[in-house]
Amino acid sequence: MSGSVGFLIFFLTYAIVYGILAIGLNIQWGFTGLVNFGVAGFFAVGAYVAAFITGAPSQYHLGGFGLPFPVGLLVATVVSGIFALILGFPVIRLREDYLAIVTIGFAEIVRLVIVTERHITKGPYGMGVIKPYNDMVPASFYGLFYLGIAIAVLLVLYLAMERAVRSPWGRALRTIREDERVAVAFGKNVNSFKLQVLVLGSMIFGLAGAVFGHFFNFITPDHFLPMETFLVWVMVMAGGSGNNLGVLFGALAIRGVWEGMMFLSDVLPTGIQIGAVRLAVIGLLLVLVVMVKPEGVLGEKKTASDILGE
Amino acid sequence: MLEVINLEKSFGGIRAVDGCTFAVENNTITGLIGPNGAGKTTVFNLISGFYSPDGGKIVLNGSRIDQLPAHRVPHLRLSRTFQITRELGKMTVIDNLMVAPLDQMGETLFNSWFRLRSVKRQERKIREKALYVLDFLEIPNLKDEYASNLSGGQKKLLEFGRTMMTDPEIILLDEPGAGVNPTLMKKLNGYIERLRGEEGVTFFLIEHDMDLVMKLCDPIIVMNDGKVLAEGTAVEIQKNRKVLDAYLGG
Repeated sequence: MSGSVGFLIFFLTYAIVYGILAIGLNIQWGFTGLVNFGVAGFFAVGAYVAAFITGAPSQYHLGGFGLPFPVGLLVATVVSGIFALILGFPVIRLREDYLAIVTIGFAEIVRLVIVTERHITKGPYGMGVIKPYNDMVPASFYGLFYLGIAIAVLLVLYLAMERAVRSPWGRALRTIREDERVAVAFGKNVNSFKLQVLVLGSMIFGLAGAVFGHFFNFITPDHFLPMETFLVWVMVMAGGSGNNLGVLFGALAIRGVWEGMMFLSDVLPTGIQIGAVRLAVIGLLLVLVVMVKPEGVLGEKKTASDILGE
Repeated sequence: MLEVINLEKSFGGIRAVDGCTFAVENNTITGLIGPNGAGKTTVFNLISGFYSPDGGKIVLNGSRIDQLPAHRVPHLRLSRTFQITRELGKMTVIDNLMVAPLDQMGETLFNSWFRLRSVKRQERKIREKALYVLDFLEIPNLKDEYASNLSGGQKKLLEFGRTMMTDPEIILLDEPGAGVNPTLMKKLNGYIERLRGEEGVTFFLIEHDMDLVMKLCDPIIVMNDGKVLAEGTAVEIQKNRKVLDAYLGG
């Protein structure tokens, strides 16, 4: 396949990974108002756990267990959820800023553990991750094939989350976001809802990690820097928090800017570091969106629950 | 139906509620008045479970409710409004109402994914009820408006409507008349009287507007410094020497 088509496939698959992350953060922040600054931590947990599960046995890292790819996705998702449960249980009843602090700490701890525990993760050298179903697909079509897998995962996730947020469950989440005391006064167990959302969203980050690892086929702790969390936040805020389609658009657009900036390296004077410039550009974009359209490019839908279709 | 016995609550060194005892009888409109800082809203927050008391008991229909988490209290058919309206701004008026009913089966993830048919059936009933409440309050035209766009008076009505959505036996109203013009106030009185008469709802309300309290409430409980100062009909309260002193600083 020609270079530009190959690049497009690479770009789309990468954007889908971020789209999955954005949907996870949207359920937490967009609908419920939970502040999770540890997206990268759960993302990393998912990527590494999936790599252990599906990888061939190795004396240099944990596993591999050589299990099928779907098992890797499932276990990565569940383990991320368990981490969120352990993290959330003591913190969820506190004010939301505590959750923000704890999740930042969590993500950094995860990253540092990956760096230092070399016998488990191969540390900063990074771990190879298998290409699932590699033997069944011709090499030249493999990129397209994996893009198909990524799209399928995203589609199932999107439909499931849309159904969830458009139901009375989603309406209760919006109530908690707007005014927790009202939710309590009308019998909603706010701590339970928040914990559910923290766990569910973090499971989605773990799923994204598994999809990312098997796409990139190589993971290092540097893939899970706090920058990743920041990017996902920008995608959600710019795309339209509280709107799943909006945050997917945000993921595509921000990834587009991020990758597109690479082409500018020919135009810019030498000595300018493109990596730094594109961060500044993303920051500027966020400021512009917040000033011009604070609700994001696609805002939240007006009706909370529309399962009756009225 | 609602009994408060020796209730106590302190904030730091301030004894906001200091051995408060009274009862709200079934199917009455009981008023709770008193100077600022008397502890009225604190009593409301204690009854509705938002604060837990330092001492004393709260008994609703024969069972103690003072140790319950706040989200359990509405399930005993007690509903409340807030002194400063708490509308859900970025949600429509009808969503503000539809979120209120208790025990919605669609509020679990499992049901919303796998039992959509039953969820829809319940949702349809809830929607009908919400439309009925909007008609009752004569604001059906506001159905799809964002709650943040409502006027102060309309927000008060919305709060009142939200309590109706839960089929309560007793409604606690925290200053329903504050910031409401006389015309709307008259309407609100009508709704309160009608709900009490037609559906047997008991009302317990805090109010500073004396005209309103004297007209609407019987009996009236007067609080001062965290204690009950007097109790009785409007006429008795108006003549009570201690009450006059508390209000006029005699």
